[in-house]
Amino acid sequence: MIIVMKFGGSSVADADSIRRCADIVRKHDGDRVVTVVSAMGGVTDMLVSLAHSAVAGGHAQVHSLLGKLHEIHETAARVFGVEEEVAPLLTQLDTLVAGIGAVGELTPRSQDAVLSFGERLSSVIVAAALEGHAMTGHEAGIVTDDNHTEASPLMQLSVYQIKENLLPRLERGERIVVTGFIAATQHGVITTIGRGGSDLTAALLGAGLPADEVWIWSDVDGLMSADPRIVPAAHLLDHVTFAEAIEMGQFGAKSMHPRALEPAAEFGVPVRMRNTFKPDAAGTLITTGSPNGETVRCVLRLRGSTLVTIAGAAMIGRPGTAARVFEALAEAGVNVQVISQSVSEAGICVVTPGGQADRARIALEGRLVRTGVARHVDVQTDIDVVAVVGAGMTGVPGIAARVFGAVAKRDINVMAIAQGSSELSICFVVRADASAAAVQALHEEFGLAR
Amino acid sequence: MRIIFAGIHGWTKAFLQLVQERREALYTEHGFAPTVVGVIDGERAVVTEPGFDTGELISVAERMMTRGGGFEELADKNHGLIDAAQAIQEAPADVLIDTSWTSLADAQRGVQRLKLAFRSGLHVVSVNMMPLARALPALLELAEYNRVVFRFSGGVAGGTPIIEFAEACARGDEITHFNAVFGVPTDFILRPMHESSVGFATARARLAPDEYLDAGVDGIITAINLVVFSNVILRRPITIDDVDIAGLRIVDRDRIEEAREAGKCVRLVGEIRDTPMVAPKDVELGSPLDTRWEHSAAIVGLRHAGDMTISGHHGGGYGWATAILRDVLEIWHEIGSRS
Repeated sequence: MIIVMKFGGSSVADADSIRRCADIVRKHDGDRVVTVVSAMGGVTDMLVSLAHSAVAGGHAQVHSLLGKLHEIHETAARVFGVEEEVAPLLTQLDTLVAGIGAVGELTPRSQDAVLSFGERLSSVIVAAALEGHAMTGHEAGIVTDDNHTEASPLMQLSVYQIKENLLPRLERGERIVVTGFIAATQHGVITTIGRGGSDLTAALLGAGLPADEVWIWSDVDGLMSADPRIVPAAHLLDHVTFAEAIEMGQFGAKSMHPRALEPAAEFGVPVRMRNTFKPDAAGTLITTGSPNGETVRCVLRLRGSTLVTIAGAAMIGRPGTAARVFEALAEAGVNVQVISQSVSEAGICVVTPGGQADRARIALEGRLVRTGVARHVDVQTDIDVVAVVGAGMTGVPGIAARVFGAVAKRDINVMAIAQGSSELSICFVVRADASAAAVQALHEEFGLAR
Repeated sequence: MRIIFAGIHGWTKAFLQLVQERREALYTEHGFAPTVVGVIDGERAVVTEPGFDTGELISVAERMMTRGGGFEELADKNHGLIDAAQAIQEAPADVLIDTSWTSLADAQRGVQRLKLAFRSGLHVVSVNMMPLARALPALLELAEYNRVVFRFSGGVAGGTPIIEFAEACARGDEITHFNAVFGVPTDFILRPMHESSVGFATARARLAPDEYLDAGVDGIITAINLVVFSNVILRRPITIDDVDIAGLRIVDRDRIEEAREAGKCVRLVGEIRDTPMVAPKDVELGSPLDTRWEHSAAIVGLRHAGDMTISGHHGGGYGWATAILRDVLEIWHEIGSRS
């Protein structure tokens, strides 16, 4: 069996954690395992601060951060006897940061170079713990475009090269440790692959080898029918489809990043979410398989959102209004989580992350109210989005009635509703202080307690 | 247009002769007057910015096909030998025409060359099919990413324009299946088995050791054509590892006789329905796949219009050369339309 195991930052936070990860990998010595690692816990944030401090001329801050980074990595390296491998990498980092400080400019390319040290250092230490071989994502075969800090892999090329580069090593029995998150352009310039980067690395390696399964190790058991802090009777989902997992991820479930699930789904590589602290538990398996017959699989809530309503009679029957709304939001860098519009066309409401509310309002007022296209823009903070998710809902009548009936029984006011044409989920907006009750009501309504 | 050749042999010679013969028409009809600015032989190369004399290149190709040599002399007259990779990166060329041969086992070498060409901004025409077998989805992606054109119709069915034909078919209908027979080199084996009633071993033993022949006999050549069809026409990214392949070695005299008695003949058929597969199959005499031996034929099954068939003579030197020229002209016009 070929397995790709990915360990996140919290799983490789220190020498003890790294040893625990190594033990997990060693338990599968009968299989062929490729390990993907993130930077040690907290290191990526420190590297971001370091880069920005360097360009701002914050010498004391740079000195302090470099000191911490040296200490974290040198301490772990000593435990596994790889001080000599780690030292040149730390020296390279010192030099790079000094260069950024001297030039006074931080390009996206330089930022990627700085961030790459997190995974390059952790991979060397984890490889030592495993008596394995550390490789960068690029050495493993991953090639991206040159959109630094948010690079996208050239999928087919990466998959081909991963097979060419890694499979012979695995067949020789090597234990391979690959840096998550970092790759390189076709010309070998280091890139980072943005949000969910290490998960995406694992999915790509799984597709390329190809692996029998990709295991994402974290500190949660897997995907749950609800947040157990709200619903104590929530149960672990032992099997979900890729479509369900992607949908759950959008609504904040602690799943593999949706961006990483897409290549796994495309190449048909099963993914298993597992808990580092319960290595014998099976976790949640994500596959292309059909749903298990249940309609609703889980109830989720997205916290801390803002409801932005754009309204005005002038919007009625006026083509292009929606386009103006979304252009304005996109130009302001506002992420739209939910969209809802009435048939009357007199209003459009969108849900955005709470921290983007002011930007959204200013952009919409400037583009639409100022020009008379809309009359006013209302912003309601302290709202949550609640969603029911399940591939089995598709084509089943009456689900929406049950959803809103259950919520109504608890006297919860629904402020906006949205459902995609895939029918994988129904979501609605409620006041933040009512969202927990809504989740509990729906969990009970669909009999999800175990 | 400035060209760099990888491989200098019969195909190169045929292409250069074809261009020379059609020089006036190519210029009048297309404004096309190519210059060869580089030639690669294995890992060595010769580059000259003003371009080689075509007659001299034809002469070198002839010498390399027969008694060898000639490349060093070409180098002596033109700045000496350089590394092939350096030539691809630095030659003042627009297009690489790759007519080199790599076996399936060392296809990686060919893939590396194509990747380097794309990275260097060269458009590519390839008749070296083994890299395509192993890495066509990756190569198509990398070419697109670098905004260069990648064409390989010379390697498909000996130059019979099956891809262009299928593209035209698919434009107005949905393709349900694809069946094809690629005459060369399987004809070297199947023809004596049918006409002289010899067994496989005898038919093979009569021929000299030849990697290309064995790739045909083992179904590799047919499989590569399926890989191309699947990636380019059906937009399903596959490699040769995804093709279920049974070659001709399993065909014995009895199988041929049984087919004959049933009014059929045996052909190595490539087929895509749900999964791509290559296998010897009994074919009705007189059906489109009962080709004359050195011919290739393909049936493109369409949901509404039914089966469409194309058949062509497996090119040889000029067949390949016209296919290469077809591809080069397409690139020439593509470059022109971008400016």
